[in-house]
Parts: sequence; C-alpha cells; structure tokens
Amino acid sequence: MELQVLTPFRRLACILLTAALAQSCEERITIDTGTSEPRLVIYGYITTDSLRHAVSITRSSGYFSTTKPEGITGAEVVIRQGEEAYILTESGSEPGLYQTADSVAGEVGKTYTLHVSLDFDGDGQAEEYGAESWLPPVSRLDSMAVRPSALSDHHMEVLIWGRLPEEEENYFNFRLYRNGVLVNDSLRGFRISDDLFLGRKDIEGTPVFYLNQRRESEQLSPGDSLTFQIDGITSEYAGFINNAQSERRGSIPLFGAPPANIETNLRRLTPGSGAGLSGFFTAFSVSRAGMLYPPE
Amino acid sequence: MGIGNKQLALYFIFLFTFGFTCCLQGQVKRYTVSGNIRDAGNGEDLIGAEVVIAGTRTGTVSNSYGYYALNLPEGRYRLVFSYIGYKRAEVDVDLSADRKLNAVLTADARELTEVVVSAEGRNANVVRPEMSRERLSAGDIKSIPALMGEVDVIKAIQLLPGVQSASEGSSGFSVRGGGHDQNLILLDEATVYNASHLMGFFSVFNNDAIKDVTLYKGDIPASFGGRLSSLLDIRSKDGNTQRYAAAGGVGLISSRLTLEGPLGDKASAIVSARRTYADMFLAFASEENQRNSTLYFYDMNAKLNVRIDDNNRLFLAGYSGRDRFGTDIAAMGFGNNTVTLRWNHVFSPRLFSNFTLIGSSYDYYLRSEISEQLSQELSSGLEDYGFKADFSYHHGPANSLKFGYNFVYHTFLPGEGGGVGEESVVGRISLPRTFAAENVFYVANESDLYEGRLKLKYGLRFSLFHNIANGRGVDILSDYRVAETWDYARGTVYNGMGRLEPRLGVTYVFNDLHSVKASYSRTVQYIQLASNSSAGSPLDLWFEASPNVKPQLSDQFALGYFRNFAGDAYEVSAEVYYKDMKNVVDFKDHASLLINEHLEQELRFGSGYAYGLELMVRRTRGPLSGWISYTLSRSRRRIDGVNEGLEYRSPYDKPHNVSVVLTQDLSPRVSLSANWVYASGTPVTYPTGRFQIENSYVPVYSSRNEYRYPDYHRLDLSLTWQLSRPGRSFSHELNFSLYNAYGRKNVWTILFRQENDRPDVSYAEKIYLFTFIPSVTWNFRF
Repeated sequence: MELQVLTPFRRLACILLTAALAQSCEERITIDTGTSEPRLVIYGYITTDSLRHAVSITRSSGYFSTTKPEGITGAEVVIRQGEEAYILTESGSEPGLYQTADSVAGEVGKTYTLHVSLDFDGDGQAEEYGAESWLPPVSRLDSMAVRPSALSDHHMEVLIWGRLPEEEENYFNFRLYRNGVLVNDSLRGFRISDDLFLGRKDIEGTPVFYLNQRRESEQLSPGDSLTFQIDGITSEYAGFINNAQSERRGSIPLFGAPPANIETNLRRLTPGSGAGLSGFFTAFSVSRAGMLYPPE
Repeated sequence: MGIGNKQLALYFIFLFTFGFTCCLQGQVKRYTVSGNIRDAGNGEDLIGAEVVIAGTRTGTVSNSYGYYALNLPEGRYRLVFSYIGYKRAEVDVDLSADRKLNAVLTADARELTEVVVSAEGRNANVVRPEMSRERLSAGDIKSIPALMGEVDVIKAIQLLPGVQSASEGSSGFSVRGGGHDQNLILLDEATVYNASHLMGFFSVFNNDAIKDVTLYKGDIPASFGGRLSSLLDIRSKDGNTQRYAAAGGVGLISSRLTLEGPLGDKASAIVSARRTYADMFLAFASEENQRNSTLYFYDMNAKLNVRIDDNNRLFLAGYSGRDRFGTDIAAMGFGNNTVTLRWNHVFSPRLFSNFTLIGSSYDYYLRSEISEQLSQELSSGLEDYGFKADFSYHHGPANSLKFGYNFVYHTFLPGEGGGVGEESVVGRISLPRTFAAENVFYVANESDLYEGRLKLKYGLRFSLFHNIANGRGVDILSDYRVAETWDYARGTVYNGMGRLEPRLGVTYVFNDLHSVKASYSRTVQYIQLASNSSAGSPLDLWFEASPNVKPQLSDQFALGYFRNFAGDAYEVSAEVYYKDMKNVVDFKDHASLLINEHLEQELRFGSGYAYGLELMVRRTRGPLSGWISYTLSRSRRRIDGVNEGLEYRSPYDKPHNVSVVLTQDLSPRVSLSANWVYASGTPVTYPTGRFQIENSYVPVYSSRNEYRYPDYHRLDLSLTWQLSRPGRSFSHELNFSLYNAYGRKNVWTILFRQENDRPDVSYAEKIYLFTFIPSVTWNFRF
C-alpha cells in the first residue's frame, strides 16, 4: 500500500525536476504498440447503501482505439453472501451492465462473492469467473465545513469532523457531491487515504478535499448543497485504485516504477481460454455528512 | 557453476603453492630496490608507472600510492622508469644490498600539448595481467565535451565500451548489463553511495580534485568486492608538494576553485570546491515563488598528505557534497560525506602496507510546509564505518603477493517522517534502523612465468556478512508473507552468511605488441538499492541481505586479444564476456519502496545473464587522439513474479553501442574535441490495450520490456583555446562546448495520455531533454 504521506513529496520532486529541465520539450509521436489479445474486464461493487448495485462486463480494446469498450451481453451474474444470492440482470439500455434489484444493501463485516458465467472465448462453452470481498467498517462522519485554503488563493478546502473505525488499519476513498453531482467522478479525482494520513482516530477539522475555484465543475456558488462521503474500502481495493491511478498517469524515468498490468482479484474458476482478466470486485461501507454553502 | 567451496579452496591452495614453488627454484642472494615514483612538477605520486630492467620484460608498476618494489638477484641493473606523457628515466643500480630509489619523472613538454589517452606504460594494455579495465586521467576527462561545460568523470566513463548510461543525462550507469546499483564507486577508498548531483545530470566528482580514475568491468582485484558488476576506483590528488598553486574555472552553471601547496618539507594539502549558481538567476524571475526558490549543489574535497619519513605516510581525505532544492512550500536535499585516514607503512622494502579508516554516509530529506495541518517531512540514509588493512609482499620480480582484511559496519536508516508540529493531522512513522557488518579476507598473487610471457593472477576473497539485531522482531518470510517473527536483543548477531569469491586471470604475451588474456571472477553483493527506476533517484534506499534476501552472486568469464601498432600509438582490443547472475533482486509490480516497513515483501528474486563483445581502437599519442569503440551485448533476467516468471530484457539491454571520442590539436594552443554516441533504444513496456473503469481508461501492457525506444545518438563538440603562451606561470583557457550538436530529439520517456476534450482518444507524447546546449567555461591555473 502506497503511503499517502509521500504523495506530495513525489509531486514536489517532479516539479523540481521539471524546473531543472527547462530545456525539456514534448512532442506528439505516432508509435505502433501492436494490439494485445482482448481481455475480459469485470468491474463492480456492493456498498452499505440500499440501492441498485451494478457490475459492468466489457472487452478491452486496442490502446489507440477511439471507441468505447464493447459491453459483453448474455452473462449470468450473481452476488452471494452466505445463503443469500442477488441475481443481476442485464440493463436494457447499456450492453454489458448488470444490475441488482432495487434496495440491495451490503452489511459491514460480511464477505460478498461475485460469480460470473459467460462464453468469452466464443467456443460455445461458458467459463466461470469469480471474486470476493469483505465489507470494511464504517467511519462516523459528524459534520463538514468549507473554507478558503491557505495553500492557494483559488482553492477551497473541505474539512470534516468524525471518528475513524477502531480497527488498526483502515483505508478510505473520499467523494464529494455538489448539488448531488459527484465532483470527483473519475480515477484522476479519487482520493485514497489511510489512517496514517488522517493522523488519529478522532478527526477534528481535518482538510481532506480541495476544490479548484477556477474549474467550473468545482466552483462553489451560494445555495450549493455539498455532501462529503467516506467509503471504507479494503486494502486490496485501495491498492487497485492507487495502481490504476498511477498507470493512467504514466511515469517518468527517475521516479516511476516499470509499467505493469494492475492486479485483479478476479479468478477464472473453470479451464478455458488464456485470455487475460482485468477489473475488480469489491464491497465498501459508506458514511456521509452534508452542508449548505455558505453555512448559515 | 557446480564448483563447491571446498574444491575452490583446494584449487587455490594448489595455485599459490605452484606460484611460489616456481619462484623458489634456484634461489640466490636477492635484494630489493624500492621507492616512490613522482611527478617532478607537482610531487604527485604516479599510479601505474612502469619500472623495468632495461632490455627485459622483468619489472613492476607503482601502486595506488606511487610505491614500487622489485626483488632481484644480486647484481648491477639499469632500471627504466616510464609513464606515458613523461620523459623516461634510466638509473643504474648496484644491487648488493636493499636499496631505496625514488624516481622523479618530468612531464614531456611535447606530449603535454597533446591529450594523452591512457596513462601507465606505453604497452601496459598488452603486457599487464589485467583485462576488462579502463583508466582515465583528469586530462582525458577534461578533453571530452561536457553537458553545460561541467567536466564529468561519470559521463566520461559512459563513453567506454561495455558501459551504458542508464538514461539521457543520468549519472547512473550500467556495466556489462548489470544494474546501476551494482557498481562500487570508491573515492579514496570510501564508498560513494549516490554519485549524482541535480537528479543525476551531474556527478559528485569535481574533476579538478581527481588524479586517477580506474574502471574495472570485470577481473576485479581480490582486494575489492561488494558489487556484482564493476569497481570505479577514483583517487584524488595529494596536493602539490613543490609549490603553491591554484586552479579553477567559471562556467555557465558553476564555478570551482582548487588551492594546493606544500606545508613545510613533509606535507602538502589540497582543497577543492565547486558550487552551482542557478538559484542566483532565480532571483531575477518574474514570479515571486520562483524568486524564493532554492536550487543548487556544492561539493568540497580536501586532502592532507604527510610524508613522515621514507617508510611512513599519512593521508587524510574528505568529501562533502549536497544538493538543495526548495520552494515556498517544499524543500528537498541530499548529499554524501566521506572521510578516509590512510597510513602507508613500509615494513621492509618487500612488504608494503596500507591501513585505512573509512567513514561514509548518504542521506536525503524532504519537507513540505503547505499548511500547519499538512506539513510533512521525510528523511532516510545510511552510514558506514570501516577499517582496511592491505599488504603487498614482493617476493621476487616475478611474484607479488597481496593480502588483507576489510571490515565495514553498516547502519541503514530506512526512513522516518510524517506530520510536523502539533497542529499536523498527518501521523508520524519511524522505521527502525538496521545494522550489518561485513568482514572480508583476501589473498592474491601475481606470477610471471616463462620470462614474463605467461602471467598468472589468482586470488581468493572470503566475504562474511552478518545482520545485527536492532531489538525489534525479525520477520521471516515465506512466499513473501510473514511466516514467523524472531526476537533478538539489540546487538545480537542473528544471521550470517559467507561466500568465497575466486578471481583468476591468465595473460600470454606473444611479444611486446600483442597478447591474449582470459579471466574469471566471482563477485558477491550484500547490499543493494530499493529503486524502482532504471536510472536511480536520490530517494532510492539501500538495504541489506538478510534471512529473506540472499546475497546476489555473479560469475563472469572474459577472453580478450590485445594488440598495439605503430610504436604503441594505436591500441586495439577485443573482449568477449559472459556473466551469469544469481539471486538477482527485482521488485514486484507496483512495489512500494519508500517508508515501507515491509520492504522485503516487495522484493522478488531470480537470475540473469549478460554476454557481449567489446571492440576498441584507441590512439594514445599524436595530434589526433581518442578512441572508437563498439559493443554488442545482451542482458536478460528471469524473476519470480515479474513478467509472469518469463525471461525479459533487463533495462540495460542495448544490443548495439558505439562511442567515438576524438581530440584534434589544431595548433599548439587550440584543440577540437568531439564525441558521438549511438545506442540501441532502451527496452520499454508499452500499452497495447485499454479498459474502462470509473469513467477512466486504464492501460493494458505488453510483456515487460517487449519494445524499445527509438535508437539514441548524439554528437557533442568542444573547442579549447589556450589564452596564455606555454610556460607562463599563469595559464588560462576558454572552452566552448556544444552538447547534442545536431539537435537530435532523443527520447527521455514516452508518456501516454488522453485528449482533454475527447477522453476516448489516446495519444503518445515523447519527452526529450537536451538539444543544442551551448556553454562556455573559463579555466585558469597558476
């Protein structure tokens, strides 16, 4: 698990390096990287929220492809917990998206198993795939606040109050909604953290999120409603997201690790084609706090 | 290799017995002539100067302290002292008793105007029982065009066959396919753990303070070890014993000054310093945060040399260097410190000894002060303290025995840091220090047989490495997970490992013009870098072998043919090598190496091999001098858990490598230098597919290092114009250099990105660093 404490330093080092390399230049180039065999990509999760949960099943495409990945239809998808089984049905509007019934909610401490059956290699025989995840404990989130950041004149910082789970090691993902719309809705905006970064179990006005007021999607206006959400995630999922962020970003020679495919917790359960597997199935807990901007 | 330690030991007992028996046959009264060989101009000891009996091949060379000894039967001899670039000296000796004979050689004025490539005797490359070895003098290095005019030892050795730069502009280098942490870099016998300034674009060695640079790519003497691939042995100047002198230079990014001179009759000292001043230009920047930035490095070398009497000398040498970068909200610094205290003692003319106390440290820190709540810091490093005792016993003109002992105590500081101040919400972490001790015993012998035609060199090094408890539990891993934890009191030696490292070399000299050589060397590495990048960074962390990390091991075989032409003006060599590496360390995919108390769980182990052909033509004298080299090589690895356990190209696998390094004297006061380098592209892993999660595309990669960047090539030029006439007490020159003269946009890295407004569209972007970098440097000496 990458320690969150180091992230600012890595950024600093990159900035310094860039400053030192005033001579460096960028140039778009065309390279032929070939196309790897398509991989089966399964991605989904179940949370403590009572709602319709979803799992997407797609086929990977060439790196320089300009179309969205192709969804895979006709799969049988089930999420199990103990004796309970939630059967996911295929969305009528989005091929490759499989959804539970309404009002399905996960429970903290329980282990959830995803089971997928589909014929990916086209040999007429369905292959079985599976993954499992436990659902980590929930944090207590009492309140939130927003104030101008001391770091920059065009950033607002989001502060939170509450208490982290008592477990020794916890991992979190922070999400911020403005007027019901997720601000950080892509990997670039995901904020993965751990206990160490948050310092202590009691959170008392810790800045956890920054809103760039020069970016339209993050600009605050009077009357905006803000909701801050902490996802209690597993260390494996935290690692998956960290690695996905890192590979999405790319690396530079001095500070980057060699590129590598991101490890998945999905497993092939039956013999079948040698096609690769990517994606992740996880479960996480959710806690929220909200406010109106500006506070009254 | 299938050879057990017992068989190896027996084999070497045989060799030593054989060698001594040969020279014990027909014993007559023998006496020893010994002394030091020095430069008449500044009193510096000459390393590797030749002493031979006129008309024979019988002779020796001076050691790293300029000392030589020849043990000969009673009689009259004419000794010839020679060193390239110096006038020969011939001295008649009546050897009816042990004699002390110091030789002072005068620089040859004719050759002083030329760049002299390769020091030592004129045909030393042919007759010396050593191969896979390159020497460069400070003059050689100075003549090579340099990035931003900063003359650089490391950049110079990257032009030698078998040596590759780890990346564009980097001080990291790979020797014969080895990793950048597999090079032992010694400055006056102290290990330099990070030889980089300014993220690697410059090395820590100030050329003005350097006397001699020797790179062993294989055939490493038994007295050295600890790294798999190479030894870079750098010796600093001792200080002018004849007169007070100064030298320095003003360049675009740095200035340097060296002062040296005698201290009474028996001592001399030298102090050399260098500092960059990029930060001074930042003061004129338009933005306030840039004006408040810090960006510089400095280094200082100092040495005191005391000649107590003919049999005792003391050297105290130190180095300190540091880089500092900072902005309003963040700072970073790193640096090396080394100190060595050496005592040369001549027990008898035949027995020369050197005792050394060594200290070396490296550390870095990072600090961010973005707000009271989020201020953070991080620091890490290591410290070495050691002792060496080296002995040379000159048993006869055809036999010299070397033996010694080396002890090093390592303290590793894996890291501590986190939030700063009471307001900080960031937690703190402090990884416990770890400790280890290395003990080494070695013995080696060189024998000349058949009138010097056949030269044998054989040695055995026995290295012992011990882990010392820090009072915390020791995790024992199984399948990279903690299986059990051992508890030991602080200071307890809880783990030990020993390895025999045989070294063997055979040279057959057909005549003074050509020879064939073969060598075998086993090297063992007990400490290595936790580095995720192939080029190395200041944040890399050294860590030690342990119950979970076996020492890395390499067996290297080499064969070479050496031939000189035109009165030794041209040296031609061809070497082939094969290197087999075991317990090679790599890291699992997405390893977390910084401040990770479970670092060993991130490691993966395997094997590697490298082989190659190195061809070199060198012109050592004349108005046009330099070398052309070509290297054909392969370097592969197979690591458990990396690339699905399949073999892959090492990051240093560049099959074709060409270096052309030439200097042409245009007139007695003007010389033009050029170097051109070509290398196959660096192996790289490219994205070959992508998938989408969370509204983002994530790449799917090819096999590890399946592709290559475009080939690399570059031409550098420099022109040196002597502003003063020869013989003036104050001499000065201007050096103009142009790095990457034809502006090749060599790939530093390729990034893969998505269009901002069309996130479904990916593209590749090449980053290149240096094109057309002109610089001018003014150098002076008086």
